[in-house]
Amino acid sequence: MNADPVAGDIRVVRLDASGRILSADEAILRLQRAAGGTPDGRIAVPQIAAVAHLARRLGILIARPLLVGGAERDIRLWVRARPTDEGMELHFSEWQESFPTESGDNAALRAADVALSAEGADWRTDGQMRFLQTGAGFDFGAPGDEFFSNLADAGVGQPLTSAIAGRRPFFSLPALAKGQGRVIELSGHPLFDVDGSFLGYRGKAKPVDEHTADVREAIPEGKTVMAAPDIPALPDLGKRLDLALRQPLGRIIANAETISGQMEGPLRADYADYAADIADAGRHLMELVDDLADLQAIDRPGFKVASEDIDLADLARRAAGLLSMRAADRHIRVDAPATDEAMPAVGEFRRALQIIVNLLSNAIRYSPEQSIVWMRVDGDESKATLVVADQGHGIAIEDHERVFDKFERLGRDDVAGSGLGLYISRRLARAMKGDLTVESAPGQGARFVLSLPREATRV
Amino acid sequence: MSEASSGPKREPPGWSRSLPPGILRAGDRLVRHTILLQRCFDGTQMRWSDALVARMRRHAGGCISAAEMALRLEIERQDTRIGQYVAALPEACCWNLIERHPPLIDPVLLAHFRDRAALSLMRQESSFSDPEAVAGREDKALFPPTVIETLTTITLAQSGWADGGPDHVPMRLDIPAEVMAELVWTACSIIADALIRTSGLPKAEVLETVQAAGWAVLGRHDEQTGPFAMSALFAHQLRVIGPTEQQLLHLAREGHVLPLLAILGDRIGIELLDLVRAVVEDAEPALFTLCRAADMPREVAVRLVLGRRSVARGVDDSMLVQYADEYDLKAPDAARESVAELAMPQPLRDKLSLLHDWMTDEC
Repeated sequence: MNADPVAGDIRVVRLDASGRILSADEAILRLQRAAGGTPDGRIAVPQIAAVAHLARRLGILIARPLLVGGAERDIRLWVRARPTDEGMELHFSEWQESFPTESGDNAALRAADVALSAEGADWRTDGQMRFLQTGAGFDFGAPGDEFFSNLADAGVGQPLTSAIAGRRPFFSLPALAKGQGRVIELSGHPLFDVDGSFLGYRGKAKPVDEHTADVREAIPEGKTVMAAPDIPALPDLGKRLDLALRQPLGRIIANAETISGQMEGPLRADYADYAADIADAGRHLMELVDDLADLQAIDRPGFKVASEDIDLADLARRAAGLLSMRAADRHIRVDAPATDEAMPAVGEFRRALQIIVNLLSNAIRYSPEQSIVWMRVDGDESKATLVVADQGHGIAIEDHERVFDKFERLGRDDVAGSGLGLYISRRLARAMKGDLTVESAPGQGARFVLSLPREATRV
Repeated sequence: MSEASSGPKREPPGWSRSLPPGILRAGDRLVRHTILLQRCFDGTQMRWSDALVARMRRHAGGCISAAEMALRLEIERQDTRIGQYVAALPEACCWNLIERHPPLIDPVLLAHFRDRAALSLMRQESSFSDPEAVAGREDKALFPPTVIETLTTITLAQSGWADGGPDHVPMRLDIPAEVMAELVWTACSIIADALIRTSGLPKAEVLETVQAAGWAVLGRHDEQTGPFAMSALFAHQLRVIGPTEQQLLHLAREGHVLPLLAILGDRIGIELLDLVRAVVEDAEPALFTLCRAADMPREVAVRLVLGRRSVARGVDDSMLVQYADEYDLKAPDAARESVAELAMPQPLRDKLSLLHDWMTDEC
């Protein structure tokens, strides 16, 4: 467990009468952006929104501890929400970050069991079984909803309820999505912090019919199928590595950042530099783990993406928000589409965002300091395009296709990048019936063009 | 025969569970009888102590009278004409009316006062022999300064909970926000009704002023000055350093019951108010299980259970010794599984309990 850089400080957010942010400290805006909100929109972090709502409803000051769950780490903080004449004032203090850990000796294996349904949508709850996070494609509840208000046991003997009550992991249990009246398949494993405190569940969900359709496709006609033994098959080595590495790496990075930032007291400069190197190397390894996990998923036969209505301009703005700190560190300005601009397309929200983040991340990484990265959207009747253009060294014409090869880094030997990002991005774009291309010449920067079908051409 | 006594299985009204019979002077005979039966022959080995009943009445009366006083002052400040009529109302009119009509007080409100009263008795029980221990010289050596500050604030705030004055004398309103809202609107309704009956002023005018006063009083309330919120903050602050066994034992030995429960709740993911309710209402084995689930040292569990005896008479000493002996044999994982339901949302727990009762009846 580490103290956040702002531990001990008080961070303030002011809301107007309609609940929109009037002003907020950067630390809070980071949480807001991570939750998909905008700096001047309504509070998007469900736990904070709930406290603000309670304070407004009762007309009274609320002072409570909060747990804000994230994909890799949780933030615990203390909030004071006071209704004011203008709207609401929220003070945040006592920041703590913690990393969920698995309980028991066989934790990695249990987590691996959950990964058997790796193609499902992610979900995460807090200790009170309220959704903290729901990934793309999770239509069975939203952050802030209570788990049992939206989902119920569909199995005999209430195995889901009993597993959750006992804080045990569960795998591929049928659950009834109450709002939709259909059965889905849920897997989940409990999360505990270093004290053994229950932090909630993280898991995957997928519609049962989708799963059974996959199974039917995999069985050749005329073949008989043996009944599967009642033991979940073990996932492959790559997935196990992914699960086993991600959490330790997260801790290494966070601890190294704490040391290099000298957050717990002054340190010799060279030691702080070593810690910064460790954090950089850790982040590189984490990217590699992410890329390997993606590589494994997309290279698997039958890999599918969801078909959703998305907005490329909105995704570009989100990616710019996510990488704004990294760009600011290098004094690079990201010129994202204006907030009133829209470019509808069809694809999987999460995967399209992944591609755009990869393109923008490369552009920031390989552009000179003080330069500009442009993100522009365009479209015609059949396709929508997003261009990410930088002012970097550019790519020779003969290398235009090579950059999309696996592990291709065009002779670069810097520590950043695994050489898999563009390969994965193109595979993902093509899986969504789109494409990813590059236009560039040495000394003229690079323009990566992501194209996806418009609504008329469903995936 | 009235509906209330229509069958042997019929449950008494929910509010009666925490209602002290002492305030039922002019109450309904049947209700009074049901409460007395419930209190004395509830089929378990638990019996609320007289000390708890008296202390609960003191907390209820004191807080309601404090809310009434704040509202009177606010109404007088806002409208001197209505203020004159408010000043003419008898002192502690809210508490007096509630004593005559107990159902006016919400079950949630009364249950909270019972829990506060229980905590103050448990704390008093622990520190009775050594009042100096409350100041806790050892606290300073064992905890970091920021945590010490919080602990001191909790101790000072809780010292007022042992006030043994008359029931209607105001107490400090250091209560959670939801409870405060319920309390203020209860007092507002009584004052508004009394004004409408006695002043002859237009009803709309009275209601508007009283309502504005209610919002103003709520707007000034800060739940963080109360021991519940401060204890949650204490557990939150202590989480960073991870409380040691020595610190936990120290808290238990010095009678810091609420901070200790806050740590317990933080460890097993149960809201502090829910946990306090369980500690006050549940039988001894359940208390040991809660402590085991939070991996508390055995001595902490034993002290907590012994402290609870000032609230409710429980099992014999020989049984307690047996429970304590079995404490370390119980696996923390199994204990966590047993108490996991407490961490679920209250509506879910209520429905599960209801379903369980129905299914049992059908069988």
